[in-house]
Amino acid sequence: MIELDRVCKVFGAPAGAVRAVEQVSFRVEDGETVCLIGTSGSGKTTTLKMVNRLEEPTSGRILVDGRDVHTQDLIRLRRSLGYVIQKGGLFPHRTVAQNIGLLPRLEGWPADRIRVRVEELLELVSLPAERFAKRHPHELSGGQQQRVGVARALALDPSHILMDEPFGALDPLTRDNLQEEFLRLKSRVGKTILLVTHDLAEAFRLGDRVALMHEGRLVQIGTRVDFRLRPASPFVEEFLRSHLDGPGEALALDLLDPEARIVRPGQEPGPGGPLLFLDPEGVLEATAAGADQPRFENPPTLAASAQRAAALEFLLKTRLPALGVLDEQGRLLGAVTPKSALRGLQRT
Amino acid sequence: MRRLLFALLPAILAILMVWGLTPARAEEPRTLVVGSKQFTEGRLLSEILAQLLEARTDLRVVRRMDLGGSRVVFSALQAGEIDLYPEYTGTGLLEILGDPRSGGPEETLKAVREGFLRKYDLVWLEPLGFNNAFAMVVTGEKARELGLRTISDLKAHPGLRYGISLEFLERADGWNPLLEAYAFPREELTVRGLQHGLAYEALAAGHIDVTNAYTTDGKLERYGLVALEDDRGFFPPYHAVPVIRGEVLRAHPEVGRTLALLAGSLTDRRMQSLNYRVEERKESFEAVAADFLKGRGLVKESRPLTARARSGSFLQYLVDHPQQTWALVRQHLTLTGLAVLLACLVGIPLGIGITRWTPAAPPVLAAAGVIQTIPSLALLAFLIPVPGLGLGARTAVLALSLYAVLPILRNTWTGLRGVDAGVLEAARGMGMRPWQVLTMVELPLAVPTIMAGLRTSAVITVGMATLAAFIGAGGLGEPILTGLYLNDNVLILAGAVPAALLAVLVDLFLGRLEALLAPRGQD
Repeated sequence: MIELDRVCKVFGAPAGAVRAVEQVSFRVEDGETVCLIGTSGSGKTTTLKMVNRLEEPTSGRILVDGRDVHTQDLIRLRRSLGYVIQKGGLFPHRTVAQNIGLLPRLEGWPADRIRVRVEELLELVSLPAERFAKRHPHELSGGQQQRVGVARALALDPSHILMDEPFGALDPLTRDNLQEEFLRLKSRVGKTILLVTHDLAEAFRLGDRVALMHEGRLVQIGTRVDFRLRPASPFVEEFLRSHLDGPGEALALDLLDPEARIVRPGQEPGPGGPLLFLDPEGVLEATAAGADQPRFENPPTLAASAQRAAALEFLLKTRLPALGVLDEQGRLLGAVTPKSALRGLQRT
Repeated sequence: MRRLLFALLPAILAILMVWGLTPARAEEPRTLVVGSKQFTEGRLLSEILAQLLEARTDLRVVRRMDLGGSRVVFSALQAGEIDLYPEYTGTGLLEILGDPRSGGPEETLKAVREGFLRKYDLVWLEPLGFNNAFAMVVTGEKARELGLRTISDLKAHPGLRYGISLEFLERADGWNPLLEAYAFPREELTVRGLQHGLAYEALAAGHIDVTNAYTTDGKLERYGLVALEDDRGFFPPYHAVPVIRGEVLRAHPEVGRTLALLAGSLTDRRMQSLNYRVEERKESFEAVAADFLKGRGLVKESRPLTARARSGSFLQYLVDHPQQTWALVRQHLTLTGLAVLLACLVGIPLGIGITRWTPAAPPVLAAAGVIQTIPSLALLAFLIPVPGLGLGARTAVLALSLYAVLPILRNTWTGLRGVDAGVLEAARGMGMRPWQVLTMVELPLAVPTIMAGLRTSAVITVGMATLAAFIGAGGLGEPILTGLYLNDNVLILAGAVPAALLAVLVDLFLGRLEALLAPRGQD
């Protein structure tokens, strides 16, 4: 677990001081991935670097597994925190195997054990050792370099990993692949991860939770649905709107059909539709395209965080006139209909 | 392979260092070191003194010849690096004591005797006889054409071009006081400074019209030059006298008695002819000196005469003197190697230091740059009086390394600063200790840049090391210097061509080394 407690960072002399990070407090729970997001200059990278003490906080405390990082041996602390940076930061004069095996070597591991570990890690990041171990970084593509960077960070099997814009410098296709791989890897290795990114879609995709920073302050931390349903401020709403404008980014939550109406027991449905019928407990019991249309009892529902593609696929498969969308607490938010699920796509 | 080379590099340099180090002056009590200025007459006189002392005393005589101008030789004498050398009364008075009064020969000798004894505990022995005064000379042709007889006559011809030796330009009894004494209209003169050895050629070729010379110069005859009369009696007397450290004379009074045998034995005419034999007939200093001593009945058997080879090609010279050339090359390489090694030992750590503590970088780099601008001869002259340095290899190595530091320092700084910031951050962030980051990441990545600096530095130093001969540290500068004042192109080439070749070879060798040391995996 990584815990930040009222952390502040001021750069420069008192006269021209820049308050880069102001009173930031949040936690990354064991096994959780939190993505730090914000515009440039928001203090997100500084916040990350204070965890492994590449920057020292001006005030406040940072705890890793309950221990104040400031009281720990700097080198031991850093080796217990995997660190991945943009473009991998590989040592150009060392081979892939040497890059990955460097920390184990510094830790005095025997050569055999290092070799086995390097092979294991290369396999984990899908780079066959026999083809890649002896290469130098400049003989690798950007995506391959980044995989090696991840493997290197995992060399000592740290329980925590810090990632600073790990996929930032890659082309969209490679980035998409690596994000996919990251999710697969995360489920296999079960690390506590703090990841900085400026790509909101990436943050929502990779993070269990997202922490949004602005001008040194933590504005909001939560899931995508939290951000969408309960934005902490107009800034958050605006930020989401301007950073998630691609039609492919939309979630079920964003695709609710305004014409869909919820009909409680005893209410008259009236004209128009589609309709969502609730039972006395407030649970969705049926949907229909209109009052005089056939009812579909006990219909399946969608999670608010379902992606547009999933929603469309589901609608096609079930051939329902509307799918209820539930938030994380199971409350009905509205309905996605074939019409609303396609909304916005024509524009592009 | 590369790691092995890294480990061996200091060892190779250390071997180079020990291998070529000329044996330091043996500190036997009964050793006498005779020095000389760096021009024909001074060197010849010293050779005469040395041979006489060898023949008539039990002392072991060590020769430290060709030590440059008065300042350098005098510093060496003061520092005890040499024990005696022949000096001129006028030079002693004006140049060293800084006493502007001028008078007759006796008066001047008395003044320098008193002054040197009181201020420096140095003793002027008996004058050798001749007066090698300064003179302004023109070609006989020009003298006839313009009717030039005295120095004052020059004033009537403002179009004349003056080529004045660099030493004379600066001397207290030299150019500027001369202009004042004769009230020359300074602004109208065309003056250029040049190396004295080159002035005669320039005069003969018609590039200049007037130069300064010495009245006993053997070349006056060869070039058909006319000395203009010093009609205002400006030039002080320059009688040659052996000057010896008081301490040495007290310990070895026989030295004084022996050298007194030479008193008054050399007339102006005789000196000029001895100079002529060395400079024009290409006889060796040793042979001419031995011949003279034998002729005076001061030495019984003369040494076998070894006439210097008359001008052939420099290649012939190198072939004829393989051991000598090889020894000079070795000395040269040693001086260079030690200087560059020293420069590395200072420059690389300093370069690393200023990347750790950047506020120090601008002043340190500026200081190294300023050292670069100090004229090399001036730097040598400054270093000679420093205790522990003196004449010879130590001073030369130190001076050379001071010049060699800048390229190494600057490239170390540039190389380290050029290491990718992301790579450094990754190294630190993943938990490498600062010295691990330095030795495993920064330095290996900076190797190509540092090696480039080292190469530049080594090539510069090979060239610069020819100046070591000025302070008796040997090397390929020796034949160049001797050749310059003997006006012997063969000798000059015999030093200059091997030096140039050496520079090319050193560059090639370091280039290969660089290719081996450079980290792989960089585009």
